[in-house]
Amino acid sequence: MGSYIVRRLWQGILVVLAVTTIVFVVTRLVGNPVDIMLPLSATTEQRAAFAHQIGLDRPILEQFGTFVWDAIHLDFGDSLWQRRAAMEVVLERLPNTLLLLVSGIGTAIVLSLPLGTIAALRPGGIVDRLIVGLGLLGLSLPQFWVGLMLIITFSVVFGLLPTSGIGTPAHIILPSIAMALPSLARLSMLVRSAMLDELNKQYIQTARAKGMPLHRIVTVHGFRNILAGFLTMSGWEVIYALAGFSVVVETVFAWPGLGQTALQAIQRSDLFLLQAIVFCVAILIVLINLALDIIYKLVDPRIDLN
Amino acid sequence: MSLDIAAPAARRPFARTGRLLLEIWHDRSAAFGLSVIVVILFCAVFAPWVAPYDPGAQDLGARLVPPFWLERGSLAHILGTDHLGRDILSRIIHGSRASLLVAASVVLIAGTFGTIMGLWAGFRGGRTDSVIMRIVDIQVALPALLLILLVISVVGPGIATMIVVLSIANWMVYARLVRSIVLSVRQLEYIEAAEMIGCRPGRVVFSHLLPNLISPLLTLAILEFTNIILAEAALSFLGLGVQPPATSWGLDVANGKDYLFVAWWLVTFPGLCISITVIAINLLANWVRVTTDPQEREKRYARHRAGRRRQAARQPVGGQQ
Amino acid sequence: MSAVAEDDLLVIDDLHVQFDTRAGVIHGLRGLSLTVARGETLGIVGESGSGKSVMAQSVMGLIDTPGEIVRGDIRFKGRSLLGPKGRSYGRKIRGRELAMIFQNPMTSLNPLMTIGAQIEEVIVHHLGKSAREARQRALELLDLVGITSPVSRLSQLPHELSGGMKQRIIIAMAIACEPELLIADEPTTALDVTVQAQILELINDIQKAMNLSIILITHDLGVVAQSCHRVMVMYAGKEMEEAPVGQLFSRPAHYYTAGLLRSTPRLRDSSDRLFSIDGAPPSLIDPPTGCPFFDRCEARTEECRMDPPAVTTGNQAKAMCWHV
Repeated sequence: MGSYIVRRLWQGILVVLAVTTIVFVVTRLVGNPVDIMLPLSATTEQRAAFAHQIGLDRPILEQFGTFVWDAIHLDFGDSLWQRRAAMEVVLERLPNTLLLLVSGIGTAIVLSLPLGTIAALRPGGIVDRLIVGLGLLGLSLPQFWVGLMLIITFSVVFGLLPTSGIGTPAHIILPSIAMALPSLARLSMLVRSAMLDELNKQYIQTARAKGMPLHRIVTVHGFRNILAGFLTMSGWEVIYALAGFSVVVETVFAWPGLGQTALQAIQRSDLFLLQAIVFCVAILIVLINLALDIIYKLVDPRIDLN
Repeated sequence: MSLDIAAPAARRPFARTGRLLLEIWHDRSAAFGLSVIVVILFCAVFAPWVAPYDPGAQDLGARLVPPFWLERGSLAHILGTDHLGRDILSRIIHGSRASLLVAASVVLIAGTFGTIMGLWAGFRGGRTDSVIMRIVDIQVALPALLLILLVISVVGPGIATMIVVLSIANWMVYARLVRSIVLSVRQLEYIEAAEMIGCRPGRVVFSHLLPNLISPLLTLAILEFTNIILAEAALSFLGLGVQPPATSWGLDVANGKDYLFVAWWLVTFPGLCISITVIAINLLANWVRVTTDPQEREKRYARHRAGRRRQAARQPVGGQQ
Repeated sequence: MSAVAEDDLLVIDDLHVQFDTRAGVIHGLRGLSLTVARGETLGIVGESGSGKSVMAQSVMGLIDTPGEIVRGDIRFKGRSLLGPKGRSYGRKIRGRELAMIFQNPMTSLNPLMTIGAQIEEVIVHHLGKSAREARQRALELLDLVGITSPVSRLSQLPHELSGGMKQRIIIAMAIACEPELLIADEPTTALDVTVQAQILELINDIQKAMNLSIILITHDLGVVAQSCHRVMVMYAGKEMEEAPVGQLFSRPAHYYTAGLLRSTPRLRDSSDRLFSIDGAPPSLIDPPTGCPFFDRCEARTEECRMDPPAVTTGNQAKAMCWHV
């Protein structure tokens, strides 16, 4: 186990390095940060000064070395928009995104287990078709549109909940629902099909022949066997949300998290801030992946990680 | 008791197509899906003739007109107009083009590239395999959408950028699927036997591979199609995809976002179109998946009959839990 | 079945089971009747697809959605196991008075539950014992089924055990509550030959020690000769013949039984070719009326196209054939 974790950490470092390289190549080679970040009206002198300031006039390898060195020290330069260290902005916004993740994806994870299981108990029955239908909706409706429809319904028509922003507990309800819906759909469908597979297995027949009641067969025998797969997919839902879906939901609800900040950085051509966000999210993803592997091993001792 | 009795395969292609259509027709949700897809395809292809107005034509005298069934609405603009007086129905009809164009291009490019990489990794094995799969693993672990945002912010938004970026971000799923199928087919006993008696491995595997490949690949491609439609809509909504004056459903939702309080129809209808399109494709994909898998097909039949039995009468005899 | 016979432990009466598939309705069982007396071992022999396992699943309440019991009755100790009342009765007795061993020990245990937990849950559920008592009982059971160092086994997972050991565990689970009837569905088929004999011996020992009734399903006539009192031969979802073991082997009455016996290899057989019955069993989708063995029978006549009568061929023996 120990050597496995070390190897996965090594792989994680590779991923972070890949992200760093991609960010470098995209920002320094594909595009020119001076053109991107400075306004069109900037003079040639201003451009040259800025290029010198961020080290563009040095050899490319040296630039890359400096870039990696700074990245290790979590130094991505100053955000031009916020006029302070990019990392500072990231650390300020990160908790908001994490809050939304916990309440949104957390809800999805908690609800998907019972929903998927209930559906699997009577495949083709009314309850099953209802849940599968909801799952189809969750998979098919665009998240930003769901968010807007929620605002129209609960804020504009009924005036029950705030439209956007952050502050009171009421503010988090609508973004959480919008965040949770696709994950809930994917996870419930996963639980349903995994449970259906599991319930058709021979050992379930044994348990039934032993006279075990249905609830015990499902909760004790079935759950334990789908748990590893379920936890992995739940982890991936967190990763998807971190890696992108939060941009959409946070933008719709003006939720001041990393996703909204990323979009604002793009709109303001604030490359350094965007770099910091991408790097930070990549590290989080690597850590989540590692945690998932360890949990997986704990849940299913048959798996040989080496 | 084994239940895996395959349905007799029809010999003549026409009879087969006919029977397939009949089977779709009997499955209400699949029939709905197919009809919606046909309508949307028709609208996209013949948009200039189907749409009542030019999608960009502004009529500042008729701004924010509601749909026809509301007060102030009129049949001149069935679904109303936006903040510049442009006809929403016409914009939706033209907007379908962006969604389908991007989705089709990305599925085609990423699918082809991913399939080739998967075949390559699966057939060559060894070093080639581990290098390709390592790339796949690393890329799966990247914060894809954030990198997409980064690239778009540097290169500049547009349909072409979107197609390229989404293709790069989506080829791995195909590679993984194809590789795993190649590996499992090569492990089949009859393939091993054929290779052992000296049949040329390439030919043998390939002739057995194709039938095993088509159905999962088709299902995956259809599902990916819906994912790309949603991704295109999201990017356009964020202002990083289709740029005005071109139209796109996601872009229209973004345009209507500022009028939530006064004109709900601006965001509702384009979003509804995205939803219905994706639902329809998902329904059809589900049907394809079940139909091409004999075991799933048997289960569907059993469920269907069980449902009917339950509806018809609740017979006391029957040893079900 | 007359009411007199109700002191039999298990009575199956004219059981019809169907499976509704896309290809058509498969008639898995077509009017099967049998009885099992207390302390008796009934062997059930037949090819795969003859309905042996369907019978076992029907008794254990394991017939699921595509399958349905359409006609007939199953009575355990005189009470029906079918219908709403029968189902709740079945839930009470299954695992306790009525137990089953499955064909493949590799897949019959929950891969992620310890051996101990899987045995103990039966004891706790049916006998209401405390966790401690259940553990004690589990240890006794492991000892009884011949597993060495039972204490450490209890905390192991199934994948750490061999096939023979798993089957012993499954037997331990089945006899945990001292059942009255044990259904063993091909309990040795998936095991190595040497282990097969051991498991069979274990089942025989347990039967004697606990005075169990056993239904032993097999396609191996050698197993039948070794362990059973009475044998029933099944074919295409129907009973062909039943008789005490000695009589069935020495004087088979049905042509199918005779063919089955002749196609079993023997040590002292001088002929160099093994006999086999020509043809294949009829499809169970739209099965023909009359004797199901008609197509393959050497003695068939026109009357065999009609359902054959049950001819008494001795004490507790009968054969479904026109030509006995």
